[in-house]
Parts: sequence; structure tokens; C-alpha cells
Amino acid sequence: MKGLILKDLYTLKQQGRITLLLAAFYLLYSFMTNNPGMFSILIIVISLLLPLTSVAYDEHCRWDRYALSMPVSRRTIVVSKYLLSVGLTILATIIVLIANVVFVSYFNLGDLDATIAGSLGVCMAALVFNAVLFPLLFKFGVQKARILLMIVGFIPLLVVVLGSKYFNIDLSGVDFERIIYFIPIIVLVLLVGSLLLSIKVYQKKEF
Amino acid sequence: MENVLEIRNLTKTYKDFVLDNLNLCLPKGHIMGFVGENGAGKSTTIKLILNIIHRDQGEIKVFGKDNLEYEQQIKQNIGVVLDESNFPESLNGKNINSIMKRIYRNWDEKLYLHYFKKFSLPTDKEIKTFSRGMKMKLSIAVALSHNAKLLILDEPTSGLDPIVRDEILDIFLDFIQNDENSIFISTHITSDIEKIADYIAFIHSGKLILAEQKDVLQDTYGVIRCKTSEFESLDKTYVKGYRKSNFGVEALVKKPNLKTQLPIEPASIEDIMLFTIRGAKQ
Repeated sequence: MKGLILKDLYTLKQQGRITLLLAAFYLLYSFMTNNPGMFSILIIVISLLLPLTSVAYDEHCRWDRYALSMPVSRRTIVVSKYLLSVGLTILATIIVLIANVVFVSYFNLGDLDATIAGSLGVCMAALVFNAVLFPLLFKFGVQKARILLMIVGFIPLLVVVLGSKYFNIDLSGVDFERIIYFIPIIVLVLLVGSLLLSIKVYQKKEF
Repeated sequence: MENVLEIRNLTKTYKDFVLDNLNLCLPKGHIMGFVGENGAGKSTTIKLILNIIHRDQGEIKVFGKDNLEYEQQIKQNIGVVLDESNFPESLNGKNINSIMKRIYRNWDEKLYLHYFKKFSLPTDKEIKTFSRGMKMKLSIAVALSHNAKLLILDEPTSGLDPIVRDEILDIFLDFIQNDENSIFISTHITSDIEKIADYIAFIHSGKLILAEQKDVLQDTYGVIRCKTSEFESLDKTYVKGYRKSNFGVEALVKKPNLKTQLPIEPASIEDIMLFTIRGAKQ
């Protein structure tokens, strides 16, 4: 397990340098515009793209069949990808959180609680994205999964837009404050379900 | 004699290819050359041994243990070289050392670095700067550095120049000096097999044509080059395959008990392979 994650980190190292440069640039940009939004988005998007990149690398050099010739089980390969991506998402969230707190208190931009909640919300969304992405990735490979993901990503938007247009759903009665505490549990359940599904898909795969 | 590798009734069906009821045994301490043309089923067999693909039927035992039930334990003790390097290109030799240390229980860092020196490989250069020969040597270094008892090699010498190929074959011969070690090597380069193998298994269109000790094969088969009229007088039950040309006939024959005045030359593995596949139909 450790060996596999280490391998992913090594392969992502190159990307890491470019990422740091980009991050520094956007941090500067955010300072100049007094708005940490761009920086936050960038960090989260990168954290989502890196695991995808690592799978693309694996496919390119046909790593999986070689990994399977070593004392590494299929389950371990799948779990290591999940750990990598959840780890990166959490790391990104911490960075975004710190950046936002610093910004909000330094520039006196307003509500600190809302900022923290916002950052954590983005983290949850990123994890849901991972939970949807990985089974597709293991089943269809990077190329097809990317396209499928765009379609899948479009569905919630479609539901909300069409829902509000034709069904006139009124959400004003919902107590969001209460729901908010259930979200991490829902996300966790989604992630675990996604992991089990991915393992099942990967067990059947041939290389 | 103890077998390190036993394959029984192994079957795998694809849309356009069937690996058909394969049976093979590799006794401990020996090298088996697994020969056949491209697409004969060599890689399929190796992938089945490693459980990279799933079999339809049959049984595979490595070190006397079922390859699925004891998969992880077996894989700690085998070294695998596939037909191309599968390391991400941005890694270097040191990175791979750190990774393998965490994957193989018996990883021997000193030995790994020793092979790097022996193969004149740089430890700090990215793999993408390596030539094909260097990449192959890297894979071999990894396969040899965790105390493996069995090497499973899928076309390790294809696409390499004769000098590098020879170097690599010497490494395999070194490895086999230890009686506990064995090698299963697939290739379509028959001269390589001729140099190092003790046993030859010959596969064609997913079917095992023969599996025999190399010495026995060389004692059994011979090639006769003669005129068409002379060929007609040969007892055809001993002829395994032949090729007619304007200059006469070349025939692969079984030597024992064959009564003829014609000179019989030794048959190479390539002769046996070519005549049994192509010569039989003509």
C-alpha cells in the first residue's frame, strides 16, 4: 500500500512543481483583488485532477498489470487510489481553509463562520466528485470516464434547473442548519459505497 | 522431482483465440523455454499464472501451491519481467528502490544497487531517458533483487541487440547456478532458448505442440536435405514435416529407428518449430 502511494506521489511530483507555481500566482492575484475565491477554486480543482492524472499515467505505461505481478492485491491497488485522492482533497481543504481565514480576518471581509462552512462545503463536494469519478475510472478508463463524468456532473444541474422551472419546488421551509450536520455522514457513506463498487469492478478487470 | 510450476488443463477463451487445455510442468532448478510465434498464447499463459487475467478452467500451482489461494505469498517469491517496462517514465532508479522496499518483504537494496552498477544503469536519471535495453535491465534488476526463487519472463530479450541479449542470458544462467532457482521464459527468439533452456515447451495457436527436454529433442529430431526421389523412398512415418523446393527437399525427421543412408544433420529448435507449424501442411 505504502509503496503504491509513494509511486503515485513520485509520478505527481513533476505536476506538483507546476501546481505550486500556479498556486503562488493565484495567491498573489487573490491578494491583489482582495478575493480568495479564485485561489480556493484552483486548489480544489487541482486536488481533484491529480488522482485522475495518476490513473492516466498508470494507463499510459500499463502499470497495473506490472503491479499485479507483484505481491499487491487488486483491493490494495483500488484502496491506495482512494487514500491518495481523499488525502489530497483534505490537504487542499486545509490550505483553502487557512487561506480563507487569513483573508477574511486580515482584510475584514466579514463573516468568518460562513467562510469556514463554505470551505468545508467545497471539500464535501470534492469528495462526492471523487466518489462518482473512481468507479467510472476503473470501469471505463481515463478517456471515457472523463466524458461520462461531464455527463454525470450535468445531471444535478439539470435536476435543479428543470426542477425549479417546472415543478416549482419551494425550499424555503427546509432547515439547512440541521441538514448540514448530516452531510459529512452522507458523504462518507457515498465514499465507502463507491470504494466497494470500485473494488468489485477492478476484481473483474483483465490487463 | 519437485515441480516449481504445474499447469493442468488450463483454458482461456477469447472471441478469436482459445488457449486450449494447456498442461505443463517445470521441475525445480531448471530453465524452461516457452516458444511459439506471436499470438500463440505465450503471454496469455503467463498472465494466467500471475492472475492478471482470469482463467476459464484448469489449475495452476506455483511452488506446489494454488496460484489463486496463495497468490500474495507466491508473488513475494517470484520475479517477473514483462515484455516492456511498466514503470512510470518520470521515476528514477532511487525512486523505484524506495517503492519496492515497501512492496517486497525480502527487498535487498544492496543487491539492487549492485545490479545497477553491473548493468551500468544510472540511479538518478529518469526512466524516460533509458534505451529499451536499459529498461529491460532495470526490470531484470527489480526481478532479481527480492530473493525470488522463480523468474517468470515474458519475451525479455525481444527488440534487443545481440550483445545486450547475450549479457541478459548470462545473468539468467548466473541465477540458475543456485539449485533452488528456476526460470520460465517465453520467447520467439529460438536461439536464446537454445543457449540456456533445459526444457522446451512449444505452443502454437493456443495448443501445446510438445514439451520435452532440450537434449531429448536434439537426440530425437534431425534434418535431411535430399533430392525429391530420395525423399520419396523415406519411410513417411518418421517425417514430421518437409519443404519442397527446386533444389530438392528439406525434411524434419525423427532419428531413432529411421533406416536411411542419407546424412542427418542436427535440427535446431527453429527447424523443429518451422517444420511442425508450416512444413506439416505442405
